[in-house]
Amino acid sequence: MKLEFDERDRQSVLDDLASPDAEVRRLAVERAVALPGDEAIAVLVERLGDPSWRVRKAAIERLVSLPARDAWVRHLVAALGDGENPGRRNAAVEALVSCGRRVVPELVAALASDDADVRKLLVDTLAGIGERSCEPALVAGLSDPDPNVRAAAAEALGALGGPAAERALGERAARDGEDRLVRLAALRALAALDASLPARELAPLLEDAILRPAALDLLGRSDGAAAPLLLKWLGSESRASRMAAMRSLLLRIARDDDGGAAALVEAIRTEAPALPAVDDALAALAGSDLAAQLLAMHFLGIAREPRAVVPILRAARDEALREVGLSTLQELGALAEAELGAAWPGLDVAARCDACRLFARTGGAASARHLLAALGDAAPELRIEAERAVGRRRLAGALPTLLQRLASLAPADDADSEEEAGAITEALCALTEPPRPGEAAHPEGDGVLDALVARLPDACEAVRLAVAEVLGRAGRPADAPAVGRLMKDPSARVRRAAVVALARLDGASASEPLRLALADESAAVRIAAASALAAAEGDAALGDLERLADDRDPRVRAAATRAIGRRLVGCEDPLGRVRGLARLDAALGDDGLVALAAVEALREIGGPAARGVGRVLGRPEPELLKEAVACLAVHGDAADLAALVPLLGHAEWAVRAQAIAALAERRVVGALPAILRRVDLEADLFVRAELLRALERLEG
Amino acid sequence: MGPEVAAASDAEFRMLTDLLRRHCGLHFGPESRTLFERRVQRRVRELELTSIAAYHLLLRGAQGDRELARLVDELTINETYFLRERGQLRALVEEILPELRGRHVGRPLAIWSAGCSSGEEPYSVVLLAQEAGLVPGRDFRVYASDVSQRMLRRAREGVYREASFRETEPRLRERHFRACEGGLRISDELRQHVDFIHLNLFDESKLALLGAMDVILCRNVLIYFDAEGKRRTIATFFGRLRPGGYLLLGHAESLISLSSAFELRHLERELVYRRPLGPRLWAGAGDAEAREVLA
Repeated sequence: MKLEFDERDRQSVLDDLASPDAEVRRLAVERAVALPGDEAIAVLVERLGDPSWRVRKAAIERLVSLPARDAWVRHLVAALGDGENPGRRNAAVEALVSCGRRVVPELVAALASDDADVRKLLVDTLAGIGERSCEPALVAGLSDPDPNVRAAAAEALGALGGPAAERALGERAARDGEDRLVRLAALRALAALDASLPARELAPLLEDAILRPAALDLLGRSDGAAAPLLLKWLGSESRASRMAAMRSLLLRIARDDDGGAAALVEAIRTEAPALPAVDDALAALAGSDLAAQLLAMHFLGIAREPRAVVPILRAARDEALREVGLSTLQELGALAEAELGAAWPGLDVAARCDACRLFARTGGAASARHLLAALGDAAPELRIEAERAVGRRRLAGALPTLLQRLASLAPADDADSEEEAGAITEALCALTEPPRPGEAAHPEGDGVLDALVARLPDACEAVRLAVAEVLGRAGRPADAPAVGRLMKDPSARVRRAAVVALARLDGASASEPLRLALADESAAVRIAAASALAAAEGDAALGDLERLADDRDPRVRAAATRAIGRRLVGCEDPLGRVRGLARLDAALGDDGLVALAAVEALREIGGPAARGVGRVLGRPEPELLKEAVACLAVHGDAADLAALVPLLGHAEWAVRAQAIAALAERRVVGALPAILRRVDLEADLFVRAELLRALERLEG
Repeated sequence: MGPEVAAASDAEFRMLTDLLRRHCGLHFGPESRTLFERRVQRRVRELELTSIAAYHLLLRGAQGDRELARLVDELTINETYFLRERGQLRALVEEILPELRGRHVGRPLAIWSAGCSSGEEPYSVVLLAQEAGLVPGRDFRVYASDVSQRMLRRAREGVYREASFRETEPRLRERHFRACEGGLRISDELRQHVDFIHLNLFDESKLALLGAMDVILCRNVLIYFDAEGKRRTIATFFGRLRPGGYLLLGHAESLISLSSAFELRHLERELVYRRPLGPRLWAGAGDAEAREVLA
């Protein structure tokens, strides 16, 4: 919009620009674009030096939006030379960077400036823009008479890269007599580009304390002659140099795939024990610098340093270090086990828990003994870690203790007992599982299952429940009789687990025990049976589910409804389909939970049947409406979708949002006027976002 | 355990978190979504439901209150430990209680640990006060509340794992705890001096059961509330405190932009809030007594 400015307006802008109130100046900057062309540019460039960053920011934004590009670029370049006002100079850099590649030719041309400060800022600006085409200009900048410009050019090339950059940077870094700061910038730029120099060229730089860290860094990427140099610097008197050498050695080992890595590892193992670098790494491990801790873990692992085992274990408590720490100790294998075995009496419960997590991954006899002993510890957190670990290790010898623990646990609503029961059940399942890919067979698996089944007659509820879950997971047909007995268990939780197990063993046949479970007094058992019968073959199962759909408990009716729905997906029996759909239709008028199950089922079934969910749009439950709208968004026809428009004014935000999403998804352009009206009224941010997305989609 | 449950959509996440915020002030933002969803999904499976939508429906239905309490249990498993922020507890025992006893002679001071989790905080108060020579029952009484029934059960049992003792010196452990199955059990001598109640800080009718308080500790609890919930809770505390009574928040918490009704007191090493002795303009809203102050 072009403003009509008269002299009074102009004077008002100029007066406001001189106001002591920053907000008044900012607003004046916004209006200044309406001043005559040259004056607008001059005023805005001047405001780049405003003491308030808000005003400077507004000036940048306004300036770069002006059409007369040549003029304002010239002014901005000139502002780079304002040595009196660094704020203005920096704002000019920011403005030019925000212009991007379109101003690069002007900036490159301006590099001919006599003012070294301007040239340096131009180089910084080009680096900020990151345009590849300015690489030759930046390479030329490496030969600038001013060292600050050369250093800035080196940094810029490190960010930008390019074929000529590495060569020019290498030449500059190795040049004797060059300014040290320029050489340092060139070395760092090479590292940023993941490039390097031959070790023989880097060696002399190691004698210079300023250049040494960067040179050591590049040795990690250099040729084979770098390794002895790095090993030597591992024994340096400077801690920073030792840590830098350590970092580069690890980099070489990670990258070296020609056999050199093995020799380097061997050399570190031979020399490290006598070197202070090991103490550095141990100290870094106890610190709080994550990068240094990771470096230390890797190094100490490679050095196979026995003193590092417990500190690594402790450091691995930090989630960010856990995997690296445990993998490192796992690699140490017997060494880690021996060290932890020796330290065990002095470890607190938390450290023993850490050790159990490690022992879950190692394979030694000593760690197995510790795990078995920890199963009987008084501290529940340690027992739980040990239980998980014996499961992962598949230590069949733990079976009696696991069952004993299970029997001694407190009632299930105690959180600790619940967690421990879960850990033991997982362990029992692991003990009976078939071997994982690449894992040796473990002949104890069936033996464990048999032992579990044999214990059932005298077992307590917790054990029976765990056994039912284990038998279900194992899926061994021979256990069907045992599962059948568990289905007659006095505990509803056990019966429920048994129903799930039977469904896995023999779900397709709708056996009598499964059907009888539909009449169980526990709703949880009936629900499990309904889910199982969804996959059963034959008409009888459908009849059973239809009867269950009249259950007194709405959760059971919902489960039966879902099961009927699952049977209808892909059902080719016309009679069965009609019966099932009639049931789902009836469910749409039932309790909210049941109706919701019917809507979910119809959405899965799809086709014309799914359009029946339109029946629930007048119901009060927002969850139900939301699901019905989502169903119609997929399966509805034009009339169904038109029925969603009134929901744009629904009292519940979730329903409004879903209706908007549905209309947008199906591109119901006819809803645009209603959506636009809603934009004016809608206060909910979530719904507003949905409205804007819808508008974008429908108008686009 | 029931079948797998699909992850909550953005709308479902907000529907559930809105419901919880209205119920008890608990606020869950996007940063805690993963943990929140995992625990909700677990409840959905346990109830043999198959979707978050069905669970939301159930929470709003006839059995909703019971299930809301259970969900809060699942979501408020907050680890704490004995003598946490010990400097503040020492200031309570060495500076605040002596000052209040000087003002209220002849009756025990009432201390409320609001959001006591598994009980470490109220027991720490009794422990330190006893060590300082105060007599529970005669000199002070400690009330402790939490919205989680599970946490209250743990607090009443008084059995603690090793992690609860990270700041407790061996001398105090030996004197006040004894080994038992599952960890260390607090002595009956300490246990009998804490009265636990199940309390939702948003439940005004239940709050009325509590009498006037001399000190309220609500440390590292407000961080779970949104701004509105914090204001409402602070108004409640103002109403529950006697004039001159103290409010102790966690070290990372303050009343900035929440309330100007309290005055900030500089103790020797701690900063605490105090309800002014005289009337003071109340800038918050909610509690009846706070509104009276305003009137």
